[in-house]
Amino acid sequence: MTTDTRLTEALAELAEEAGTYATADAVLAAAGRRRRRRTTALVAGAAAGVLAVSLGAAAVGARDAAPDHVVGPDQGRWVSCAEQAPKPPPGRVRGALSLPRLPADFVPTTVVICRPESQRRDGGGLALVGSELRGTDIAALVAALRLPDAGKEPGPDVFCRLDMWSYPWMALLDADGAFVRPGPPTAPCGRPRAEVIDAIAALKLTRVDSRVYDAHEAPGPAAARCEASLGDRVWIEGPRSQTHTGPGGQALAGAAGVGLCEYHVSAGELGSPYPIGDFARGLVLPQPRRELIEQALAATGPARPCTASAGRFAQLMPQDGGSGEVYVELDGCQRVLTYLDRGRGTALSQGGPELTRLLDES
Amino acid sequence: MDRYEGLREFVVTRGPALSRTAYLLTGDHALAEDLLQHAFAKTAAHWRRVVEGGNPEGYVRRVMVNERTSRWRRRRYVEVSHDAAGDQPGPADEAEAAVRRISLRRALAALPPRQRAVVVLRFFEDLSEAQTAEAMGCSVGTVKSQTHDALTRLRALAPDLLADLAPEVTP
Repeated sequence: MTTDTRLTEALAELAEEAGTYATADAVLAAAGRRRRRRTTALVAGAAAGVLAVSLGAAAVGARDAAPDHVVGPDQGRWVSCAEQAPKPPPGRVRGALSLPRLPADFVPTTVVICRPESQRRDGGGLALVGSELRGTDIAALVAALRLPDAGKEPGPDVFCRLDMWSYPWMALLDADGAFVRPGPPTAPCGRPRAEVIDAIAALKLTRVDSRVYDAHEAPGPAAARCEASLGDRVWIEGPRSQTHTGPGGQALAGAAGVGLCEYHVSAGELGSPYPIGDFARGLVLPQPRRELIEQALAATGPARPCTASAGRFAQLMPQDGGSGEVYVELDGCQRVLTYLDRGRGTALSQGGPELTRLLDES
Repeated sequence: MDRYEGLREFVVTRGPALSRTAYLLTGDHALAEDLLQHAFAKTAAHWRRVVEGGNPEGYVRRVMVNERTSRWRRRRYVEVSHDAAGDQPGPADEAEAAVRRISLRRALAALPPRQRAVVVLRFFEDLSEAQTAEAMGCSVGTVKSQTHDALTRLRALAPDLLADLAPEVTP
């Protein structure tokens, strides 16, 4: 193993930009409070229902630490979440406490919340969608938003909670269609007043629009624990591998579930020393299909000499964190690379049209 | 034994180092803060058991890595802009270091989270492959392949930074 000193030095240099992100007092205060309250509400947004999905929002956190770099305009004429909210909308708006307060002369009639949600896709996996939800029973919310800032600052008798609070990407509309994005009144420790969070949680909302986000952020990689891009292991490791027969089926045996990730290698990457494939699709294999694939893997023979670089390859991985991994070239040489258990290296064997068909039709 | 005996000292002594790891894992101050506070909260909740396990720092690190690489957090859009704050103009003699930091930040941001994690754990934390595998909850083989892919990608993205890196990094 080569340890690259320059990389280590550069990482250390970059790490110097870090602050100190937790203090002992805050950790102990939060721990004591958690214990006393015996709360499991680490993800307050989930409990709140309306904030239930915070996909990709780096969801946990205690303070409103940084201004939001993805918020849209704070006021104007409302069109839609798709037009005016970040794409996809965040589950938790950062910098919510910095948003302007609800103007005294603004008379809201409707609340709009733009939020990310997951949606089961045909053929497996989850789709990431951005949804627009609306509600008109907003008296309690408006009253809460008009409350003054309140509360004592942390001290000997006031502890700061470390559990997360969430504030959604939310707009209030008036009867003429103008909107504002109001910030909440604040409580100590850099939190919104609880009345606001409670009022948001109690909103009765109707979904008026949902749209799937683009392939770059497609749900497949996450659903099947795939990567956005991955090196073609068969091409990279194959020449160094033992020749072996049929280890792939064994490598996956016993796994609670097996994920299939397919990657496509661009023309520019083909034949390079380290061809990188981009994610194409991913799913967790249904049990009957998995059994057929394991049988086909077990039947693979010794790899034949071949130098064609694959344009497509598949990765088969245990979903329970097991160590077995299998890579299959879906065209070109149609070889199979298996990572053997306990660090025993890799084995290369020969797949074929039947294995490819089973994987393609999964 | 007090339920939290030793926790204060642990946070005081190891908090700064773990903050740096959190920052490298996320590339963003606010995300790093969220990540570390979550990890400490989880650690505190099981403090006695964590201490009995003998490696509280490893526990916190593992929580952070798992949090960063688990399903729905593994999305590019949670990453901050590559040109995010922190690139403050400095004196001329610091220009080279600033360029290096920017270059590395961009390159790290382009890595999938698991590849980013192996780079941080192997080359910043200086963990062995086995220790990295334990921290990531995966096999040594996966660590090797992820490291290989990560360095390949880094070499392409930041050639100046990694120009002298030998191409073969796995045995």
